[in-house]
Amino acid sequence: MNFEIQYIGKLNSNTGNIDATIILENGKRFSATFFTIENINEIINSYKCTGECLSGKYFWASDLIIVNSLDQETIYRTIRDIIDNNEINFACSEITQ
Amino acid sequence: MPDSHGIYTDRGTLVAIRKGDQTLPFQRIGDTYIATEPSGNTIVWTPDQSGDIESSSANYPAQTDPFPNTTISFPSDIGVDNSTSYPVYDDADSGIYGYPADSGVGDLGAVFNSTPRPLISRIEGNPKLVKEAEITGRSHQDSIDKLTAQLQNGNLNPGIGTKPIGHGLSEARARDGARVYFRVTSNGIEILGKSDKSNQQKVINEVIKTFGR
Repeated sequence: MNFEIQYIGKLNSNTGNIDATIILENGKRFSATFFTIENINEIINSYKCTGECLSGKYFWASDLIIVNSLDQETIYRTIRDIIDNNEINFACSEITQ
Repeated sequence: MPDSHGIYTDRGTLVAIRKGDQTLPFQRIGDTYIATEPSGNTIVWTPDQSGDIESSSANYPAQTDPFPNTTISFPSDIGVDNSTSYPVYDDADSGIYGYPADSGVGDLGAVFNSTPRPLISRIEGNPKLVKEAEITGRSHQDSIDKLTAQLQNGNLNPGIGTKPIGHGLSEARARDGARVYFRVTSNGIEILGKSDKSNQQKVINEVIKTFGR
């Protein structure tokens, strides 16, 4: 199934994570947020002083997908694989509005 | 007054360690602070026990970006360069602290934010933003409240990190998909919009249309 990825903001490998909307050819839309492991570690470290998530004892995020590199090709191949494996409904929230 | 570790805990939460133009993640273990540079180098230090370091007398210019470049002048008697360029948080109550050069820390800055900033909602002026904020509130109000509380208390990078959306406007992002759009002004934090992931782009477009330069 073909799909389109619309990024919310600029895709920049230095920014650590990015929101995106995945639009399937059947019209269904899903939300995802792509992180790198390095970014998650940075976030958890920052929580040690803000107190969030028990001061960094854990981390979660909705529609979280970890990629080893925050670039267009990696993200496209990731979503391609998730869709091909019929996992998109489990990995990402469907946007129904 | 500084505590026994030379840290001005009465200033509130230590929100950032700055070195040059970088914000370094850090943790405190007992008397020791540990900050990690992107290169992987680790800075470990125990602040001067005397704690005899007063805050800067620098002028804080009006700022609209959470991390602008500005010049902070340290008191000359603390052993670091008298004038050092730092990106700092807005709000003069944030402290920029230099540690003596012989501490091995050099021109490291510790940024505190303690005084809650006024929150000013600008959403009411735009019916579309009001409607989207109401929709968002049905499912994400608790998370929106926590995000705005963090912003008010000086943490301009809560949740999974704040993103610029252009025009000097920012998006604070919670783990559950709640998003709060804001800008920092000399009067406080202006809340410009609220969304979740389902109406995110729509709200961003409207926020930029309404408040963009």
